[in-house]
Amino acid sequence: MTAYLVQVFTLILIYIIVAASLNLAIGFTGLLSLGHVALFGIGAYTSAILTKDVGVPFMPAFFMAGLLSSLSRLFLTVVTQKLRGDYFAFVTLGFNFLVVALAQNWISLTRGSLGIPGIPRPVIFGLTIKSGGPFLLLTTVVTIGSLFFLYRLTRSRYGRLLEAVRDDSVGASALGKDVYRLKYQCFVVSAFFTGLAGSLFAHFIQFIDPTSFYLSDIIIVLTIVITGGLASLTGSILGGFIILAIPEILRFLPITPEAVGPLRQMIYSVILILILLFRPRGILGKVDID
Amino acid sequence: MLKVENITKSFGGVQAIRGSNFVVEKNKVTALIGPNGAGKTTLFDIIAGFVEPDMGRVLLNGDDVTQLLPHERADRGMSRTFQHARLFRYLTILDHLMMATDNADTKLWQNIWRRERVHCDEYDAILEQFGIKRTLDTPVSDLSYGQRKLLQIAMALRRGHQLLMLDEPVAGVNKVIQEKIEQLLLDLKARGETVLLIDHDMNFVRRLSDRVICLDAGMVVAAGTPNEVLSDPKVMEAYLGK
Ligand SMILES: Nc1ncnc2c1ncn2[C@@H]1O[C@H](COP(=O)(O)OP(=O)(O)OP(=O)(O)O)[C@@H](O)[C@H]1O
Ligand SMILES: [Mg+2]
Repeated sequence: MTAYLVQVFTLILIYIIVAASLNLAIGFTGLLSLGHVALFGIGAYTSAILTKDVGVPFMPAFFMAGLLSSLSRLFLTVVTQKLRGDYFAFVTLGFNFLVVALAQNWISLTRGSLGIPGIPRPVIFGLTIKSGGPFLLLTTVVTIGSLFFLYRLTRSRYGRLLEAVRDDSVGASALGKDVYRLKYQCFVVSAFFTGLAGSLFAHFIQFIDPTSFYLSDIIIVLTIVITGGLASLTGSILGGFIILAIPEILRFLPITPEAVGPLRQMIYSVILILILLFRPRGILGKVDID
Repeated sequence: MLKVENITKSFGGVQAIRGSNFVVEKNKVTALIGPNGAGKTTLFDIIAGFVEPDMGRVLLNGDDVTQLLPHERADRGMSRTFQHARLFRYLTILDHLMMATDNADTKLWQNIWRRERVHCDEYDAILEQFGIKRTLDTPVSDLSYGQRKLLQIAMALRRGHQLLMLDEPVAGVNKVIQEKIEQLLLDLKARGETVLLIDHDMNFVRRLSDRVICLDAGMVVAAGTPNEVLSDPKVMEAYLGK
């Protein structure tokens, strides 16, 4: 039972990193950026391939995961530079398909749908991080580090400037602020932490294949962000615990295991709709974004 | 200081600006007047880089800035306000004034590792000077229309600037604030600031400006001293209609 809780807790923390970064990307730019599952996948694949096939130690592979995810987001930002609103959302959503297609078809690199098994345990300063408690500790450290960074960022003058750009970019550029550069930075930082989370995920599950990065995951993360509240990091943390605890409770109810998956998706969708209808700012959100 | 050369701009079928030419001289207050829809705001947007002209050039101190982005022009010393104050709805007065002060807020790393020290006295003095009777931590969503305009002018002045561009600074505000703003602008004039301002109130323009440019249907119909321009029959015609 404890072992099980430790597993669940680790996974929740990984998701919280993704949700908090997604919240930076959406809540502080006002653009519905939906490519985060792909970025998470890029982080996971980067770290898995580097450690398993190339023999790179965990630490550099871990940072490369963040970096490559950032680079991919930079590419996506260049492509979507002129897009707004629904078009921006569509293209970033489409980015997920592109990345899954790459993972499926670039067989020499990713082994396609066979996936990558036997991803090694992280080794840090000669210490192998075993599953269970030690891995949870590693995840906790990364989560706290990421959240601390994001917290400092959003609470600083820089964070307030991001809010200004989100709410009126014309007004902000009249004050001499380079609004494009700020949005780029915001997306790149967000992708970096999502990539790190992807790396943790790969080394935690130790097996990844293209189906690990289902599009439905974007609904989960989005539900966490919206439930917690846009532009509220604390909200994303709270949202993470609430949303991810639900399927775990389902397991203890008399439901057949096959029904758990679809039921979970249904519950997420219902929560998302209810929140949007009755509490659009989420639990802790303070802003409305048009 | 500023030179506008042969600017044209159409929005779909509407020819908003048709080949406008004028200069704004250094250390002078220049007023841009003209009836509603004459294209004054559009010209401001073109000068400051928010709207791309179909043709023509904008020169700042002899440099062609036509290709520069708004923030680049702002960094070169163009500081503008908008006809309807553009403020950031979830931020406070202090946030706004600090944002106008410098660009330290655009530096990601610096902002994460360093704690900022805020000199509130300095900012309180600005509120005092502008007669904004609010505390620094007031969210701008609580401000009145007039206070928003005042804050916007305070921000435009706070930015390092060479050319101050004010789009209808006194329109729609009450008498008290109107007088306050006029006094502030007279002080600026006395200090030798270079100002380009748009306004409809002829008496206000006459009291304040050294030069007047009248725009009608996207064309400069008169330019010169306030007396010359305001007594020009073409200007009368522009305002009264043909
Ligand atoms: N973005 C736009 N799209 C289409 N038409 C526009 C746009 N901006 C301005 N116009 C048109 O261009 C013309 C000039 O408008 P502008 O706002 O520059 O006038 P103005 O002189 O500032 O008037 P006012 O005194 O009412 O502020 C008007 O006919 C207006 O309808
Ligand atoms: Mg106007």
